Amino acid sequence: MISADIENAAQQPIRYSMLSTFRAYQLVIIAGLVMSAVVPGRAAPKVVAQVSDKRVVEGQSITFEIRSENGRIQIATLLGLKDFELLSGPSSSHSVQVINGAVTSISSYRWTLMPKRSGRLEIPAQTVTVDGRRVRTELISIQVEPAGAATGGGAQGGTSSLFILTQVDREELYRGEQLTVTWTLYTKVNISGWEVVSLPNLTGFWTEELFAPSKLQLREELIEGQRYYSAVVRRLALFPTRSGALEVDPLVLKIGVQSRRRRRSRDPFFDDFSFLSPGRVENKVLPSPALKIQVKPIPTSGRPADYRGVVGDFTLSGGLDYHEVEQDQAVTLTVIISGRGNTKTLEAPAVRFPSSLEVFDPKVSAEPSLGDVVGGSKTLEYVIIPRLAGEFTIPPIRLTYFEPRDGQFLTSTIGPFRLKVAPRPGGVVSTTGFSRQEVAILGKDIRFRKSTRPRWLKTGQGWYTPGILLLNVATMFFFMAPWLGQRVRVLATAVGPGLMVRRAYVAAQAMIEKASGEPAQIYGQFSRAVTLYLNRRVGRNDQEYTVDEVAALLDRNGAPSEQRDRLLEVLRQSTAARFAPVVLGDVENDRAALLAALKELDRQWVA
Amino acid sequence: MGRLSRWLLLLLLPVLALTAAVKEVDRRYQRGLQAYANQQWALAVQEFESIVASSYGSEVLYYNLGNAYYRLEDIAGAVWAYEKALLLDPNDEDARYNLSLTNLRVPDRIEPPEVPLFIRFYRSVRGSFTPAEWIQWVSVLMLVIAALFALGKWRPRLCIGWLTASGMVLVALLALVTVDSLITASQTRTGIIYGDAVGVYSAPTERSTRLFELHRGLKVDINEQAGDWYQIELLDGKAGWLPEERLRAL
Repeated sequence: MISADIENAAQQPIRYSMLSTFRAYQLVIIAGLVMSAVVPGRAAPKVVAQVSDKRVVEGQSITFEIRSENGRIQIATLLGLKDFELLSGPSSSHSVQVINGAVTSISSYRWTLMPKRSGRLEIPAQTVTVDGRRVRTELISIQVEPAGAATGGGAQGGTSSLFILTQVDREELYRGEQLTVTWTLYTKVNISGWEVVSLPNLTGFWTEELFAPSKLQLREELIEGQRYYSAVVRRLALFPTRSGALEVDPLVLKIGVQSRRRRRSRDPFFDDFSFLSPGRVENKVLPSPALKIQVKPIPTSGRPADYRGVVGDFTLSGGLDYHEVEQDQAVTLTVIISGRGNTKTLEAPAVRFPSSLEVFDPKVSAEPSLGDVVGGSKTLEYVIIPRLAGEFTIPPIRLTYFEPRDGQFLTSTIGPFRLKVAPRPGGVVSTTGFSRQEVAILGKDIRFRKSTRPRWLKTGQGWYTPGILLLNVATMFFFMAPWLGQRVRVLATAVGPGLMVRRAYVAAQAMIEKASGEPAQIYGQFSRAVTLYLNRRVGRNDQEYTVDEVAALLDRNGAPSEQRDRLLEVLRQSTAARFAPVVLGDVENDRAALLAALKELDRQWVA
Repeated sequence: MGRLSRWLLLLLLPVLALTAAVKEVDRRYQRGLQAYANQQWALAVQEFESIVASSYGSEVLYYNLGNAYYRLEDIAGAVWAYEKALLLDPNDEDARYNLSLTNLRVPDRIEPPEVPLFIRFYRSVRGSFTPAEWIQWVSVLMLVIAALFALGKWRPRLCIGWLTASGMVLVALLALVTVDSLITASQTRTGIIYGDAVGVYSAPTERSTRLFELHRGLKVDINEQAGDWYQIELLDGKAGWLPEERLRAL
């Protein structure tokens, strides 16, 4: 035990001035005496740092306590802990003791620490605040002994009176082979409670729990002449998923240990397991030692081509429930894989069904085996519906596995299975699965090849071809045509009437030259041609003119008189001929005369 | 040789090359037909496939290729070729018949989800022409309507305004169908499963979970491609990844 005295303000001498009298001094002494009779005696405060054990084995935890008598610890934080891991704390407590009239108040702070390594470790001096003052404790040294090395198929962690043993059934195995790990707690001390703080990570293993007790089943065991109580804490089946060196990392337990030491104080934290227990309960955090396992890869030599990574010892069984059925009647193929090994990750063997059998996804069920060897059986049930009549053969089903005990590849085979499907009576080949249209063409042959000359298309060509572009442009033109026509008319007007005037004779000439049919019709067309000519020349839009009207129109618009008279004469002859029977020769003469008269007039008539 | 003739030759070269390519395609096709007639199915498939590989196609070619594959018992190849023929000519009754006959031999049968009658009707209307044919017919119809429109404006007394207006409404509706047909064709990629017991995985790697198995000849939708893997979707909504070589895109 290390202690540190502190200065107490109450103990400091009081200075009085020279004016203080003896009487006054006496009064103080008397008052002090009176007070001491009334108020209980109060001892000097004392701050102590202490540990539960100064010599421990690696993996064993210690309790570190800062304790103050006659002074309340207000602030306490742990600083500079390099070699220890803080597992829990601080827990604080405060109590008052009265012994023979002397009052002692006890204030304490506790932490649970775990040494990080073996050797001589130190808890540095800590500073705490007691009744407003900062007090420094002393440094504590602890001797940590290294934990025992792994022995045989296991290793132990803890002290000689309390430890965990990790046991494996083998230290070298094949990938996928079962490894059974058992963690057993050995104790010589009374245990009031236990809990698993952390389970191992077990990276690189596929894990299956075999035994996980809720209560410890203790039994007596003699180890090297010493009597222990032992209990299995956990048992796991591990299947390495990769080869190489793998580690079974530690399982950490927290164990409440009843100590037989005399109880110094009642502590709510440490007494939580049993208030009635005769001794104090101390929590110990106990990790199991880690173990190295060597995992061998599955050999490559002699490995069959259909090997799918199955490790263990398996047998295939099963078969069809019926061997002769009618079309569309369901049959079940059962495949049972039973034996020793990891059936949960076992990939079902491939079954190659004939294509005319309709097969549904298999119903899978598993029955685990009892005991510490993982295994059991996995059952796959395939429901098959034969859609066509005939004889079908399901080829043999093979399961190739690696037997780790003998280190060889073995194959279990069942089948082949023969199924005879009779056609359904009633003529219809099939009804289910196919539509009516499909049933109608069942058993028919494809239509014959085509001999028409192919129209070659370059693949990857766009849909918008030049032909479509042309169609779209034409569409645009038609949609715009009315508007375009309007624009053209406006343009023609803007260019001036001159164009119409200049084109007047050409239009009339074309009309006269094209005139055909009965003489009356021809003369009618001559009359319309002259009307058209006059309309264009003078800017009118009349339907027809009489000879007199033509004469008046020409006069009004300043046509030369000679050409005017010539045209009027031709017109009069034409009008007479139009309503009287004539011979064809006259018509042609009149056509020539009219053309000549119009041409002459057009040439001389300046508008 | 004058400069002009040299230029002319340069311009004509692509045309000459194209004509030569088509001639070569024709030659191969005739050889394929000959092999087919002699029941040398494998040789016929080889000749027809060489045309497909040279980026030329025709509904007749795909139809005959499908027949050759069928005779070879290559169900996946036959389904692929008939589907290809129907893509070019959706109304080819012979290709449709042979495809349904081939589909009877496809082991996987997936029930498509129930679709309302009007959607089925619309899809059958849309599917009765290829997108290219839709564009062609709608363009022709638009030209006729435009001509009617121009005529109505030129000769108002004909009173064909109502005809033009109803024609325009019809063209607008058909144009919508055309656009939908184009979008559907450009967005939907399908393919045919090749090989027996093709594993479909949860991710584009064989180390991922094997979700389900598909068999030769099944038509699936292609959602996306990642490296050498296709993400596919079945009619009933199941999806997953499979290696590129297990699927032939249409």
